[in-house]
Amino acid sequence: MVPVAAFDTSVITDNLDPLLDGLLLTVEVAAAGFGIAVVLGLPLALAGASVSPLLRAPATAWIALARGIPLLVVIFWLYYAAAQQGLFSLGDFSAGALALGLTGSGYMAEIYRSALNAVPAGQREAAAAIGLSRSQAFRLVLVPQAARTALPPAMNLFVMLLKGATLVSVIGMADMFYVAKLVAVNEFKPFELYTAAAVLIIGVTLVAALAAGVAERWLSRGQR
Amino acid sequence: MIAGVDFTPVWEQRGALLSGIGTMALISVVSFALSIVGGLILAGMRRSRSVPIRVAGFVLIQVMRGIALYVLLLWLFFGLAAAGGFQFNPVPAGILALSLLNSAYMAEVFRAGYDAVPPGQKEAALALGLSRWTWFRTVHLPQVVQVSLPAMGNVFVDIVKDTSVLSVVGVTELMRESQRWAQFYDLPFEFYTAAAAIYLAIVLVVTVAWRRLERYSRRHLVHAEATPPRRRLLFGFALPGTR
Repeated sequence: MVPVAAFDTSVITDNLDPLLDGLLLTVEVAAAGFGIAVVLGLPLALAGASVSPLLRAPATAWIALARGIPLLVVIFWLYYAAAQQGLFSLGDFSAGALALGLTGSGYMAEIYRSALNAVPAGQREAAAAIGLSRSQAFRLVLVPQAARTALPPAMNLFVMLLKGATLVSVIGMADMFYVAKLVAVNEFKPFELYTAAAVLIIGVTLVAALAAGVAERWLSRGQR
Repeated sequence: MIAGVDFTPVWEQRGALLSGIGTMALISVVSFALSIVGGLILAGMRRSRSVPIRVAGFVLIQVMRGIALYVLLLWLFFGLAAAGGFQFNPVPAGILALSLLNSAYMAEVFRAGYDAVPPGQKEAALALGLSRWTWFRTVHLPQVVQVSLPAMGNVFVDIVKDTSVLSVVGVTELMRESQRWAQFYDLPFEFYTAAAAIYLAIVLVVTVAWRRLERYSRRHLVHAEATPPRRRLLFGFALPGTR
């Protein structure tokens, strides 16, 4: 093993700006994917809870596909396979964000479903009793209460997508690991650069995970 | 739109894909077994009477849950190996990385399972004169395992899916084989679609088999309230939660 004294921090500080730019790109692709998952998840959850099998079957199949196929396979499929067939051609960022969003939508649908189920049935009955329409009851009574239950697992999903977003560099997105690899090869300091990159991304994930914990406690304040 | 799809090369390379599936299965099972051991150790650390051990367990679990598998693999393979002047063998290194990260998830699973057993069980066992070891082995552990089984199944499914990431450091599992032949034939659509279908099929088989195992673990419970309500078909299982 190399002694600790040989750990060269200057190669990290010299390249900190491109590394941080790359880190920002990873966070951005994760955030875009999370946004797609949040938007797709709700209709998916509602369709999955529908009484009509015409809505339920495709939703169940979608969730099975989203949760059963590894993220890396989805990224490769969207980036290489779809382009070969001329279905669509995506850049590395869009392919990564879409892969994260499609995978995340399956998880997000489950989060919405259990959050909506967690609202006591009496709330719906009470809303109907005071004369709210079905859409009003959903919008004014169900959603605010379900959001409180859904937020902590949703933030955990964001952490999961953030970790998944590091994979987008395999299709050539110039993120932090791409930068780390370039500099590591040029300066021959792989240990320093990969350690710095790992510490930076772990820092971001831990902050996001801590925020999820704080949000959970903050949202459950004032509850019995 | 979809013109000239040709799956015959996929069928011709079925031997390579099957050997990739074999590697995947081997790595998954070994990593899962090691994660159970690591999870028990970490969960034990969290319950230790010594404060430093408890804190160390907490920090280890938090950090390992924050690390992406891809990041850990890159660091081991290109960082640590270069600093130490040695080379990792991809398969053991992949198993090491998978086991380390999933030990932390497994520790959380066991901790929740441990807390879910009512304290009266312990009091009753000790009142009957059982030794602490007998209580743990014959009363406590079976109940913890039974409560933890569904969440353990989720970890196993995640491990199976995560083996695909090992392809980036050269483990010749299913994804690596698919990539190799997709490039060889220049048919990414056929090979990646096949890979997705195979992963999905394996995940479904594992999920169904695990359901049977859970039902088998509850076979002695005759009371209606001891049987949890029927869960939704296949993918209605517990929330992704911490992943």
